[in-house]
Amino acid sequence: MMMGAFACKERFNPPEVDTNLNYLTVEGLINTSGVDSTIIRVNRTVKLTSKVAIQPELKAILTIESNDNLVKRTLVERSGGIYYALPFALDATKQYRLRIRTSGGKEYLSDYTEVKVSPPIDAVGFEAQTNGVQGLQVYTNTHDATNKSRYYKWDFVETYKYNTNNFSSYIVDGRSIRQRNLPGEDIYYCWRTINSSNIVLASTLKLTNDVVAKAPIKKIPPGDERLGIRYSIIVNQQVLTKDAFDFWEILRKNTEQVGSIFDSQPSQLQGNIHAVSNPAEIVIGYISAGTIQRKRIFIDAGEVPVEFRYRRSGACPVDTILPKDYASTFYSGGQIPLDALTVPPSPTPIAYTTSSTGCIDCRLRGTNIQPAFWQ
Amino acid sequence: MAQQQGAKLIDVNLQQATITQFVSELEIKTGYYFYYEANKFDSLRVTVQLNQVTLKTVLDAAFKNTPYNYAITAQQQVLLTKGLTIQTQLAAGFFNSKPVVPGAKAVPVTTDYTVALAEKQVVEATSENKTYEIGIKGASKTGTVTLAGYVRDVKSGEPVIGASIYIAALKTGIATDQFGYYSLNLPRGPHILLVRGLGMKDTRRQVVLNTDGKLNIEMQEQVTTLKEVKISAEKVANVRSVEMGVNKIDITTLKQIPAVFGEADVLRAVLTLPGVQTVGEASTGFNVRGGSADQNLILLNDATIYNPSHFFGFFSAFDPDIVKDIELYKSSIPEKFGGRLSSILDVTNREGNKKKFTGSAGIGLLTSRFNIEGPIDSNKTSFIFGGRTTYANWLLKSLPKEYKNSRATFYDLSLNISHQINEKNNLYFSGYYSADSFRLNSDTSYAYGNRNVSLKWKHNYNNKLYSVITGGYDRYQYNVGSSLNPVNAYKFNFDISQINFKADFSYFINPKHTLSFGLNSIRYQLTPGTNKPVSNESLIVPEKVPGEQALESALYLGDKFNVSENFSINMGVRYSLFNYLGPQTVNNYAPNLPRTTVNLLDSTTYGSNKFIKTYGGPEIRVSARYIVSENFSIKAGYNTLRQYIHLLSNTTAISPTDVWKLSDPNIKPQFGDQVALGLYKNFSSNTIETSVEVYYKRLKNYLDYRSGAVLVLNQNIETDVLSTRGKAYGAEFMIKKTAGKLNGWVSYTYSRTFLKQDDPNAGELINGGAYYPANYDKPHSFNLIGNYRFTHRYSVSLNTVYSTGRPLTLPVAKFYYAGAERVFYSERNQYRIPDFFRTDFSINIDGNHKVHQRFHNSWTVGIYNVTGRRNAYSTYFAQEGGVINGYNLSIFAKPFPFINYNIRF
Repeated sequence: MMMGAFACKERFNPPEVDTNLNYLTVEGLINTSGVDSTIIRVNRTVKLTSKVAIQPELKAILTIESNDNLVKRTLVERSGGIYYALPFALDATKQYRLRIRTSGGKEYLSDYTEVKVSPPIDAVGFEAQTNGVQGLQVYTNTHDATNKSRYYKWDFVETYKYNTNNFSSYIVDGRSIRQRNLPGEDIYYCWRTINSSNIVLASTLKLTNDVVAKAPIKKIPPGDERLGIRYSIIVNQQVLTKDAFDFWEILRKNTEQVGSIFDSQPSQLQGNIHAVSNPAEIVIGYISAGTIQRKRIFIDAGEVPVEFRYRRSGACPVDTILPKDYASTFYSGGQIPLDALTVPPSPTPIAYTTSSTGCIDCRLRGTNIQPAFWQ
Repeated sequence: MAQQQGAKLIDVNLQQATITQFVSELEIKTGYYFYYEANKFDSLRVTVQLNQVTLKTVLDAAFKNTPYNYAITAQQQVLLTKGLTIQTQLAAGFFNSKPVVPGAKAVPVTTDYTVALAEKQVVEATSENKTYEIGIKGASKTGTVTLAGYVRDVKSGEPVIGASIYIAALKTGIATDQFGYYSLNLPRGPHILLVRGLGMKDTRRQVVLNTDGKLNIEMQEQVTTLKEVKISAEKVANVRSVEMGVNKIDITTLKQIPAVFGEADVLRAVLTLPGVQTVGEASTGFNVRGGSADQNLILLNDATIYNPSHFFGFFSAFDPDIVKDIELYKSSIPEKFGGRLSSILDVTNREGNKKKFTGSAGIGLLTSRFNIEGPIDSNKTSFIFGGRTTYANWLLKSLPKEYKNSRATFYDLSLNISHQINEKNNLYFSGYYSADSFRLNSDTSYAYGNRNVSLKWKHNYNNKLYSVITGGYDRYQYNVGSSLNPVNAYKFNFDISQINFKADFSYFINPKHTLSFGLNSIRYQLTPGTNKPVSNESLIVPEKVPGEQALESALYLGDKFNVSENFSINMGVRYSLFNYLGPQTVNNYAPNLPRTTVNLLDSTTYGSNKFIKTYGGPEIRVSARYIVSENFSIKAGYNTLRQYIHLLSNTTAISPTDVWKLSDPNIKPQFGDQVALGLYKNFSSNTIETSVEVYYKRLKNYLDYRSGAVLVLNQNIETDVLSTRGKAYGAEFMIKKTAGKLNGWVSYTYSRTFLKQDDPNAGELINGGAYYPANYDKPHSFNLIGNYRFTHRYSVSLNTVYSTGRPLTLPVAKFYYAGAERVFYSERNQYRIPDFFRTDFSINIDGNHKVHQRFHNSWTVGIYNVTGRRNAYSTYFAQEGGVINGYNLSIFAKPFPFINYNIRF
């Protein structure tokens, strides 16, 4: 009865919007902690059809100002539209804003915003969920005894250790093949780091106490490679003002909603940054001031239910390469030798085995340098 | 023998004698036997005073100047006839008697009356061939009298609604009202009434009107129809009625429209009418002439239905086996209705069969339904009861993975009882109960339901005046709950209830004027939202948005004025008044500043039943019709309406999480006016009807939302809504073929709706204060409903719908923010989703048509969305792993076969 066709989801490509609107986008936090740097990213919007996602705004002058005019701190351009200032503590009772002067001479100002100091994260935990959408749910708990925080935003960075299918003991060194120096030249184990692209928000406004219990941060689907060896996540917590929360909520609604039967209409995004000469000009972004709290946890595959663990799939067939083919395969072909075939007692290999690079070299998707925080 | 005829001399002294009295008198006195057809003589009144005369003289005198004749046979028999003379002789001389001399030609009855035939005596007119004498034969032979009564189904005793009673000679007529009641002003004298009713056999009645009187007419159901008789009732209606923009669908038509899952669906049928557009696929929310979904007043037997859909909108709340007909007013809204800006959808349920128990049942893939009706005591009281339920979980299990854990059930129950107290008083009870619950994969469950009861008392004061007093209670409620995470376990409740009182009067003054007047009152009690923790661990603060109370009242007066034979005007005025009542705490905002929490000054608390704010004003309802020729007329109308209740919905469909909001000091009532013009022409002896209607509408204080508005549990909802102005205009074309093997209609509508928010004090301009298309603005829409009947038992139906895609706010740029690519949306509603197109097809197979079998059964087999077009139910963009993808979610994206079995007993 073709019931599978009851509902169906397919790609919808909007008509190309040809004009490049070139709106300024500003992202960042005026970090008042004195511990962390302040990092502000200034970019431009691009066309939907554009292959580049980021069009940085270069050579702008960014200044942090306080509402009593006593603080004026100019940021330094690092690269690609990223501007920073080294840690400096700011008085949390004052209000701050950001001034941007573009290389084109246009001036932009954010609204003065109060400082929101984040309470520490109480815990980051995880649990296997077998109801609803299955997965390993990473959550966070926090609270503010003063009941003043109320609006929370989290982002996170995930790192996990993984290995490839085939272990390579040999390395191509110029026009020869030699044994790998381990662990320095190991390409079997790697670490992959993924920055969060989700906006995670929560409000405790409707609770009697400013307590966040098990706010879902990240759900790892069963069988994901993250759950193969060891996984780590660091959660960054920020407290927002109501206005900032609204901005992030709209941003989240506009871009991360999942197709559901009850959709709401997208909303127009309004930030707190305005062009000084033309208040009607659209500027995307919200500049907040405050501090960030962090917490990192590690999850070993052994702590995860067996059925959630990563199961390697896909075949990695091994070929044998004879010396006449070394040049075309290894020296110039870019293939990586796995093991040597020898005929004892001669130690000289008569051939090397290999397979596709993706089955051998973990660095294609990560780094084989262990991160400093890794335990 | 011939001697005998004249031989016996008798004395006769009769005053206003009926034929029975007359005959028995003569039989006693002469010993002759009389043979006659009583019903042909029942209009005869005999007044004779003769002494010592023969039978022949008496008969001559009695039948002088009437169409009646007599013949006296040799066997001492008297044969009375009307119109023709019986020859009693087979051949000359065969008998001794002579041929009878026929009576003289007919002239109007002029005899004085002395027997007081009470006016209250109701003539039950069951025969076409009888002539019914109405009232007391009086001296006056000029002037007009009022004839009134009920038209009923002879089999079930149910009233026939919308039956037309037409007097061809006078080119005048009237349609019966919702009770099957009619009242006509006619000149004294003989008339032939042509009676046509939906699904009934055409019939006629011969009457002679003397004084005001009552005539009840019984009609027979059209068991098998080749020609759709219902249409002939509309022949009068289409061109001749003064109302414009009124569409009526009876259940026969309804059942011919292919419907998803094979169940006739009231709202789906409404959606095929010109000027009506669906909110979306699989939704029964609808937009009428550029109005939003909440601007339709949906009435079921005068009870307000707040949520007219079941099961995500795949089914409408109305039980198709109980519904009698549906009337949609979209232009000329009668003054007795009010409270919504766009339309009134008036759904009427049947009255139960007053003569015997009958019922029906239907079995489909997803739902089953059952109904039974019958008399409670003979002829006076009847009931009809219907119920439906679903077993649709299997369908949900076949949904894509993300919906696999979904559940949905619903059921509804309807009960109507009608009781005739006496000829002047009727009571009607109506009850409706529905319950829906569903869960869409997540742990969040939804439940909603309508509950309605109403009691209606109809009282006839006299032929010219009757009243209908209605009292009722309506309630709509829903709840949303989740208990997966004990810390956040909650249950959210919303409900709205209203107590209604209505008194409607109809007064037929004379043929030129029919007055309607009355008053309505609604007491609202609304709980905008309560949120409660449902576990001990839950940290959810019990939260409640304070309840709202209000009183909406209206007085109205309308006159249907027939200026001349060809020109009629309906003029009405309705004065509506809205009182927002305490207890309530109302926020006060700084004047001339945006209503935002920043500008909140203080609040005022009002006590119970205190008048906090009063809105009100007159509403004008005028429509006029000019008949240019027999089958061509022009109509025009102007309406103003006020709406004191708003639906807060961030989605385009009515979903069970929407919140109704009463107007309050910070949220003004909506106001709309509409001017419309229509041309109506019928062809081919009224079997093809065509119409063109154009309209222009203005809206004021329609609510749109600020960006990122929160609508649920919002204590200051006025800070999240924006008041907009709107305009809508359009043209509707319709061609309807009403008779023949092939029938159906084609309609095309061009319509636009724009909103505007340009108040700089509102704090947020939408699209810079320019007009923008409303969510439901769909310029082009086309509908085809076709039905072809091969034989009495087999017919096929086709339904084709096309409309422009609804407006959409599209992403226009992308940027990188917070670790991912994001989209920036265009100004509101600047783009459109792909056009909507769908064709459905069904075959209806009736069992045999033997009238006297115990069960009648039928099958409906069909395909929904024959072309398998993937119409967008929802279009959205989702960020997945840093990439932005656009998606189109469609429901029923492939041809969907259905089958349904119905049985009637």
